[in-house]
Amino acid sequence: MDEMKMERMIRETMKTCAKGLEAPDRLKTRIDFAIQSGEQTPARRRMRWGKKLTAVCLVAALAVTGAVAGSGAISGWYTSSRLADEWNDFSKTAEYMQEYMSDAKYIESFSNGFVFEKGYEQSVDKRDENNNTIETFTGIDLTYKKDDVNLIFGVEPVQEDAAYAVNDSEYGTNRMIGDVKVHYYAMPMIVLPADAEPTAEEQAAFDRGEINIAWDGANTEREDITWHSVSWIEDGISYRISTFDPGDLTENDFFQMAQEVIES
Amino acid sequence: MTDEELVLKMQRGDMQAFDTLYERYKDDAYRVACLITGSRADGEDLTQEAFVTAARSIGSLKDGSKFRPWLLRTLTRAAWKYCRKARRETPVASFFETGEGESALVAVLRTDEQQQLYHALQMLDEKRRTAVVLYYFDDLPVREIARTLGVTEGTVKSRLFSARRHLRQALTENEGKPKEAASNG
Repeated sequence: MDEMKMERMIRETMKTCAKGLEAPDRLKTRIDFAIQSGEQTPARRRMRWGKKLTAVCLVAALAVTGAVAGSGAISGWYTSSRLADEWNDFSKTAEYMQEYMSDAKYIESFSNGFVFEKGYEQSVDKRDENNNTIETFTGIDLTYKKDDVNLIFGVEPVQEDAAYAVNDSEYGTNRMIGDVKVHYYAMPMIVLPADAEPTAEEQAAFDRGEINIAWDGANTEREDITWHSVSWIEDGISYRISTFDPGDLTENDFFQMAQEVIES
Repeated sequence: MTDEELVLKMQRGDMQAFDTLYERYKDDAYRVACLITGSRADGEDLTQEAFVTAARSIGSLKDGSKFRPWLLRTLTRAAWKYCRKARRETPVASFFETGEGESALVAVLRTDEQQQLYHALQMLDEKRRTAVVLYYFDDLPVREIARTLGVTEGTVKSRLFSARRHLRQALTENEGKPKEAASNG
């Protein structure tokens, strides 16, 4: 069958299927009822990112900066891991990736010795200031390990309402790998006890994008850490390799790992 | 009144403006939802979800002239979520209705070739199927689809290319089979 005939057939088939389809009258009644009786405005929830939730929440905390900058309505991204959707087997993770983000790139191991350990699904709710979920999307995290160093490789569909400022921070380094701009940075972070507030200087540094701030209910004292990350966007998918403890990994190593994924 | 004016009114609390937007786009949204899910009943649920979400989060829409693509984006994402959930819970073979149920869309297709194509369409993953629906049914150009889905034009082209290849393969495989077997999809 030639191309034109097939295109015509696809079009005709769908138009035929849809012919006569009209939204039923009861639908408007259902919608009005749902709007009037829907879940209403719980108290505003302050975002606190627990260190126990590992790097994922800190990644999300950084993403919130972009989300707030990009939209007046969404006040935060709330990330949760689905433990039921966790795979220790690379082929199962790859199968899942293929199903949910078929355009995504991923590899089983890096040439510097980091090897896939496990994969798991991340569900992210974008909520407004009244804690209503506006939108939900799913990302997938793969962890890699070498000796005592762990890396998280996060993959998610690019969110248009996120500024992705952290992908292009002036405090980091950009390199082109083929046509893809790749960004590396090592961002200082402070982790505060649950009831602590950042100082005015820390808040100002946060507002300038120089540091990130997280809260951890288990912390009794302020803690300083550094988040190392290399990130890029390719074909509508956002990628990030990150860790709090890079061991001997250098900036060049992070770029090399990004290149291996991009060229996979 | 334009979409932009209606959205502005909605943002000021005028729900009559919402009623007008609903009347304007209800059938478009319902048809796209039905084609993506393959079912009228599910199409109705998803259309409801999309309009309710739109009504609740209208304040976040900065450019009211983009109401339709914004609504479709909400709808398609809800549809993907539905498809993923349904696929987890339902064997693939019985996921899409086969023409017997009252809500099946395939019942109106009269030729074997169209029925084969329809079944092949429903076997695509939801992202490729959505791209096909928006391109061939809704007649949106690639750029608009990319904006609606929040992906690059390259990704849309890639999904369409891959979908066409799959559909061609499905039709070719059935060419040599007896008609009865082929039409049972």
